[in-house]
Amino acid sequence: MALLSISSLTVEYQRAGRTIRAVDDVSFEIETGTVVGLVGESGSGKSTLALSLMGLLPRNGAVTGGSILFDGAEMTGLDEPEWRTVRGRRMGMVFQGAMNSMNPVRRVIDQVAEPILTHETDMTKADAADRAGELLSLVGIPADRHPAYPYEYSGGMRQRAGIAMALSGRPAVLIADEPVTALDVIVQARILQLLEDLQEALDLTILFITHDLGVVARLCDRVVVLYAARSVEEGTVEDIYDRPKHPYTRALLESVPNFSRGRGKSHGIPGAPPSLMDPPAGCRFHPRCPRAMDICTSVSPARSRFTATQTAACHLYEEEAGGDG
Amino acid sequence: MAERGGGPAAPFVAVRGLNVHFRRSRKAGESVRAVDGVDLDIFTGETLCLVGESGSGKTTLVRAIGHLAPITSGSVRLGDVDAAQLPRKELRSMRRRVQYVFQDPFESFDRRQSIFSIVSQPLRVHKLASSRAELESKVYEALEECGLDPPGEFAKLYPHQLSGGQRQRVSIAAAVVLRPELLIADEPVSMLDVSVRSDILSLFVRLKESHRMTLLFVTHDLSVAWEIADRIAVMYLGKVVEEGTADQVIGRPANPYTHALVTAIPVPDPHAAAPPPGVKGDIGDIVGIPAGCRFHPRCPYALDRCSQTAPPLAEVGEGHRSACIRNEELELAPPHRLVAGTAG
Repeated sequence: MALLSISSLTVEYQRAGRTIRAVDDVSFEIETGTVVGLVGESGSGKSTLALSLMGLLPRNGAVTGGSILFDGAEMTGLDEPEWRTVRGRRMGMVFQGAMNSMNPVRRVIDQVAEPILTHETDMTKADAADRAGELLSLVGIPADRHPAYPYEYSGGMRQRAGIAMALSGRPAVLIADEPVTALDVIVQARILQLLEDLQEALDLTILFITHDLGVVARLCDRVVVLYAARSVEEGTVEDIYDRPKHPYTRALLESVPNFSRGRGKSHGIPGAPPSLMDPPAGCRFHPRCPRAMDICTSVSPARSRFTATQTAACHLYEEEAGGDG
Repeated sequence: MAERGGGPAAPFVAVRGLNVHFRRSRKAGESVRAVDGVDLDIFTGETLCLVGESGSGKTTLVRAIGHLAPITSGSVRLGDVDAAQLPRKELRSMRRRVQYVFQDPFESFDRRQSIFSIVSQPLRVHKLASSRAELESKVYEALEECGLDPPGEFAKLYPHQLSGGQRQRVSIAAAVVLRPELLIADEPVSMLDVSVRSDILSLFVRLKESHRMTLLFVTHDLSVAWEIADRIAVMYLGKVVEEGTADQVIGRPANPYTHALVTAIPVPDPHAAAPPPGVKGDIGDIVGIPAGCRFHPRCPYALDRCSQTAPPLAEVGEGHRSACIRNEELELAPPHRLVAGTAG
């Protein structure tokens, strides 16, 4: 059974008297022990989706439809005290800015121990400090650096400490929102390796949110491609990179420099991702799509299933592969 | 096409023994050697990518090349002038020959200024249009060649009405409208969505060719450098550690630091092997500047003597140089399978 099951999820913001739908009818599942990549550009809704999964939507945002089942329990509609029993415990979080969210005047080990003390009330301070030390060692921070202050850490070490904090509640799922984006490439590679090792050692389930197709290929089992608040394609990494179906997925892959394709062979997608204040009718990709047809300008495409693992929402395939929803 | 490294052409930019040091604190008198003893040639008409991690000194180096940062010692010649020796009056006209495009198209504009006003400002400052009609025609031409077509429509808009990619096209237009000889672009695509990046990269290459400019392009992203560079120079803690053609530096890196950097690039291919670990620590862990080779505390190939002697940039192939005392003996495996080809 899926550990996390998102179906027909819709999230809206109210801004200046208008409703902005930032996540529109998105469905996907995450099986226990797998890493799912959520890929999208600006305005795709990927960060809003992540916030809604953690019950962290800002005041003007709300889940207005669909469901989020986490380990069989419905998450939509939880109030803040109920969220606090889930978030930081069975659901760990790592952010891009984890490096900046630490308290500058407290020792790192104390900051990692704090949530352990909050969550496991029968634990003594000394036990919590031991556990924090274990976690910091697990993420590769040598013991002599545990008592240091965050400013004494490099960006890579702070992100490691952020991962240790995310693991402190023994989470079943880790939600990682652009966790390596701000890091230099050598450090990034090592943090990805760390996440891969932890995933294996702890049988972690990870939802990895990123715009970086290289990072997704490196780490993920499955990929969900978002465009303008909707899921346009889903499949295994091999499905998505070797046989992409949706014209957006194809164009996105062609826009990334690729050593095995040759220099100067990448092509951008004309135009820019649409504003969610005023998304195009029909398929939202149609104004930028090289294969757009008349129907694409007015009718939203249904999802077509190609194999047991791959689906895409595009009018090109509606006849050959039978709709699915 | 530019002469690739070491050709007979005279360099348009010749950097010699350049030092840019900043004083960290007045009391201690210690200084940060942001750029430390750099020699670099940039040939007329080529695209040179300056690559490095944060803290490598790449931005300080290009600012010094454009004389936006004070030079501690050494020289930067542009064509036949050494700007450090120029009287103030002539510095202004030299500044016109060098234009910049910065990373953040969102921050660099006054939101109350129209696109026309933004692109015409450099022409007005340098008094390069004698009439409104001439000003308009120069601005429209720049907008059009930067892909903001129809220019008359775009000229009336304000920055907040444009996408990120369009805003970056505006800042490119505001730079090329002065017809500079050297265009310096500092991380101009790193804030942009993946799907719009490559068209901005090809715009740079196209403009460089149509206006016979020299392009100095700063990036932390080697896959971007590989996409557009004729030559690449790699910086680490204030020094250039390797330079060569894009195919040399990325296909067959000779310096252990470059090798680690290239190896770590996540490639959009799920069948690619995970990069082997090797390099320790990160650039931010380095307190002060290590003696000898600056990379030695992190280098998997370091020997005792690496901590004693600073290695000079030395030839390892035609036009390919690396600063490593083990240049001759190390045989670093090519990190990726490259399909060679030309940029642009």
